[in-house]
Amino acid sequence: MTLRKPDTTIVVLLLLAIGASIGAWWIPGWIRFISQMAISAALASLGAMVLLRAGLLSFGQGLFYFAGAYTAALSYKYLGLNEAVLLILFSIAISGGVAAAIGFFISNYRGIFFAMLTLAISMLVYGIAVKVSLFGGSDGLNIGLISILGFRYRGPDLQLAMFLICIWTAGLMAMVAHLFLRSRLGKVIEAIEDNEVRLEYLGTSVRSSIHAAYVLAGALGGAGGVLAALSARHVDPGFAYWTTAGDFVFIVILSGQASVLSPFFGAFALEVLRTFAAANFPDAWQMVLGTIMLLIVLFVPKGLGHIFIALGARWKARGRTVVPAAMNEETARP
Amino acid sequence: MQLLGHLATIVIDGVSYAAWLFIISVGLTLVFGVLRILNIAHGGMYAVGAYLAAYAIGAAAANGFGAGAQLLFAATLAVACGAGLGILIEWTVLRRLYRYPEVLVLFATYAVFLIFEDATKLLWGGQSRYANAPRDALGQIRLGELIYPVYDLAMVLVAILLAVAVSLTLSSTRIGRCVTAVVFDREMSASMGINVNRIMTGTFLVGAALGTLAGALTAPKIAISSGIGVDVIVLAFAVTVIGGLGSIGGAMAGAVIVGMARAVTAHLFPQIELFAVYAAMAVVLAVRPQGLFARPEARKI
Amino acid sequence: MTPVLECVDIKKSFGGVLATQGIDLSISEREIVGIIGANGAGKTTLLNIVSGYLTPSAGRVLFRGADITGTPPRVLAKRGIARSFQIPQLFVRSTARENMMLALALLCEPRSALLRPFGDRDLEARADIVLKSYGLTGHADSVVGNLPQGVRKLLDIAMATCAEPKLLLLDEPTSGVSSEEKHDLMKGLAKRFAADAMTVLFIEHDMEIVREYASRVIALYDGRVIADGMANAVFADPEVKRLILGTRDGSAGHA
Repeated sequence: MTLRKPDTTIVVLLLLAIGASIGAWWIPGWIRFISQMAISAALASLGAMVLLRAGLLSFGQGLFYFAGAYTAALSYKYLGLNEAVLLILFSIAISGGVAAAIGFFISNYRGIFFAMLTLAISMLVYGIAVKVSLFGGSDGLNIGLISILGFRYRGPDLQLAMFLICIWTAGLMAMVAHLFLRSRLGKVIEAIEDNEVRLEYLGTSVRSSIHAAYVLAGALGGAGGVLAALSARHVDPGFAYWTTAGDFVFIVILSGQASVLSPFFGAFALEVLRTFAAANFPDAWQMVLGTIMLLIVLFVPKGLGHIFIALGARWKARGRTVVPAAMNEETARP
Repeated sequence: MQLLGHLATIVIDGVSYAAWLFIISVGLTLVFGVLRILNIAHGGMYAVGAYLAAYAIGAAAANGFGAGAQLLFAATLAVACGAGLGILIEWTVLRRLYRYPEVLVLFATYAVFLIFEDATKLLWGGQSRYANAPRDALGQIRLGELIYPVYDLAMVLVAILLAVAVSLTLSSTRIGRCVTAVVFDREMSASMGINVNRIMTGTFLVGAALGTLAGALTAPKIAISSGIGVDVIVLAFAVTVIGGLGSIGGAMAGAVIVGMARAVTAHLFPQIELFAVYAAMAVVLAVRPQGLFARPEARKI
Repeated sequence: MTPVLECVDIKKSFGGVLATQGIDLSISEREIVGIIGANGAGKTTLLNIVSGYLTPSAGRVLFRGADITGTPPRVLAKRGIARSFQIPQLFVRSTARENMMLALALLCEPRSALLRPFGDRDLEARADIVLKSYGLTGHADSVVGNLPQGVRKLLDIAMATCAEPKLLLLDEPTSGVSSEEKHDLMKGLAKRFAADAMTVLFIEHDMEIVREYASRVIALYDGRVIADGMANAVFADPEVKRLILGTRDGSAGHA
C-alpha cells in the first residue's frame, strides 16, 4: 500500500479538539456550557445524519439521547457510579445495545414508515418515563458530584474538566462516525437510497447494513445524551420527546450532510439562532426558525454546509489547498 | 349490567372520537395520495380553522343568529380561507419542491407549520378562546344511562357524509377520476393528457380547506389556544400511516383503530391514554409494515 | 456432468394469474442460451426466480446440483449467479467508477473488508480496468444519473460480469442500445463469456442477435416452453413462427 495523504476530516477534527482544549482556559464559562450543549446535540444529529445518508428520516434520535442521559443518571443514582469516563462509556454501550435490539425490527422499514415508527417508539418511552417514579417522573433526575478520571474536581475546575471531556468524547465519536462513513459499508449506506435491488444483487444485505447504521446512530445519540446529562447535571423525559429529535433533524437540514463536521456547524448555528431570536423576537421564535428553515429548503437544499463546499471547490480550482476542503469529501477525491 | 353500560360508553366514545379523527385526517390523506407529501402544515390549517370559527361564531352570535347559522358561517369562512391559504402555499413553496427528496418537502411543510403557529399567536393573542355556543345550543341526548352532547354525535354524521362525498367525488366525477389516475400513476396520467399540475394544486387546495374545516368543526368542543395544531398533526399522521397512506378507506380504518384504542385506554387504563395512539401505530406497523391498505407496488425490475 | 442450472416445473402466479405455468429447463456448462418470447411470456419472471428475487409458487431451481429455490439474491450473488437488468439498476447519485468500485468491493471481497476505506487506490484501479474493458473509461467520473441510457445499460452489464460469475443472467442486454452498437456490445460480451468460461442465459428481442450469439434458444409462450434447441431448429418451428416471430413488434418492449 502506498503512503496516503492524511485524512483531512480527521486532521480538522484533531485540530479543532486541540484548539478548543487549549482555548478552554480563556473561553468564558457560559460559552463553554452552551458549547457543551451544542456538541451534545451535534452528536445526536450526527446519528440522524448517518441514517439520512441511507435516506432514512429518524424522528427517534431523542430516544437514544434519552437512553444515554438516563443510563448515566440511573447508574449514578442506583449503582453509585460517579466516574464521568465510565458513565460515558457505559451510556454509549447501553444506547448502542438498545439500538441493536430495536434495529432487528426497525431495519424493515423505509420512508415515512421508518420516520413514524421511530417517532412512536420514542414517544412510548417518553410516556413511560413520565409515569415511572424510578425514572424520577416528569421532573427527571439530578446528577450530583462526579469524578473525572478519578479526580474529584470542584467548582470552575470541574466545569473545565467537563468541557475537555466533552470535546474529546465528541471528537472521538465523530472520528468513529467518519471512519464508518468513508468505509465501504458507509458507501453501501449511501447507495441504499439509490437502489436496494442492486445492492442485494451485489451480495449485500440491505437490512444488516441499515441495522449497522442504526446501531451507530444509537451510540452517537447516547453519546450526545450522556454529555448533555453530565453537562447540565440533570435529565428529564423531554429528551425523548419528538421535538428534541426534530431539533436534531433540523440541525442536519441546516448544515447539510456532506461531512461529520456538518452537524457540529449546524448545532452551533442553531444555538446562535436561538439566542438571537430569543433576544430580538421573543414571541416569534418559531416563526424565525420556520422562515429560516423554509429559506434553506428553497434556496440551499443541500444545507448551509454546501456553501463551504462551493467555496472550497472554488479555492481548489485556483490551485490552493484550504481548510474548508474538509467539508468537501464528496467533490474532492484524494 | 354495569359492565355493559361501561362497554357502551367506551364504544360510543370510541366512535365519536374516531369520527373526529377521520375529519382531521381526510385532508392529509387526500394530499398524500395525490402529491406524495406528508403535509405537516395541515396542523397549522387546523389551528387557523379553529381560530376563524371562534371569530365567526362569536360574530354571528353577537348579531343574534342561531346555532345553525353560526356553524354555517364558521364553516364557510374556514373553507374559504383554507382554500386561499392552500393555493398560496402550493404556489410559493410546494411547487418549487416537487422534484426534491421527500425529506426536504416534509421539512418545508414543517417550516410552514412553525410559521403558522406563531402567526396565529400574533394575530389572535396568547389566551384561550371559546366557541362553544353552538354545541351548548344543540344540547344533550340520553342514550340509555349515558348523557351525550348532540354535537359530538352529529360529528359522526359529518364524518360519514365527508367520507361518502369524497369517495363519490373520486369515483364518479370526471375530475375525481383524473385525481384517481394521478394517484395511481403520475407519469401515465400526464401522458394521457391529464394536467397533473392542476390536479395537484387543486388537491392541495381541497386538502387545506378540509384542514381548516376540521378546525372549525372542532372549535366548539375545545379551548382554542396556540399549540392545538401539534397534537392534531401527530394524531392525523398516525391515522394516515396506519391506514397505509393515501386511501380514504385506510383513513377510516386508521381512525377507528386509534379512536377505539384511545377510548379503551381512557376508560380502563387512564394513565397510558396519551400514548395509546403511538402504541396502536407501533402494533399495526409491526404486523403490517406498509399499513393496513398498502397500495400495490409497481414492478421495479 | 451436473447441469449448471436446472429448473423443474416452475410455476409462479401473481394474484391468481399464472406468469409461468410449469417451466422445465436444464443448462450445461458454457452454454449461451437465448430466451425469446413475446411480452408477458414470463421471461423476466423466470430470471427473477432463478436469481432468487422471487420465490416460485411451485417447482425447484437447482444450481450445480444444489437446491437454491427461494434463496435470496444476496446469497446467490456470492455463490456465482449474477444478473443484469432490463431497466439498469444503478446508484444514480454516484459516478460510474464508484458504482464499479462498489460492485467489486461487495462481490469479490469478504464481508470483513466492508470496514476498509472505500476510496482505496487499489479498488479504484481494478474498477478502471473493468470500465476500460467495456469502453466506459470516458464516463468513469460522470455521475450515473447524468449518463445516457445506453451507457447505463452497459455499466449495468459490466457490474454483473465484473466478478466472473458462474452463471450470468442478462435481461435484454441490447435494449436501449443503438442498433449499430448492438453487435459490438454482443461481440465483446461473447469474447468475455468464452474467456471466463461463463454460462449465460439471456433474454433478447432482436432475433438476429439471438441467431448469431446463442448456442441454444428457448422459446417461451404464455409461461411455457414451446421450443428448445439449436437456433435454426427453434426459428423453424411452426409454433414459434406463428406465436413469437409473427406477432413480434420490432421494438424492444417490456417482458
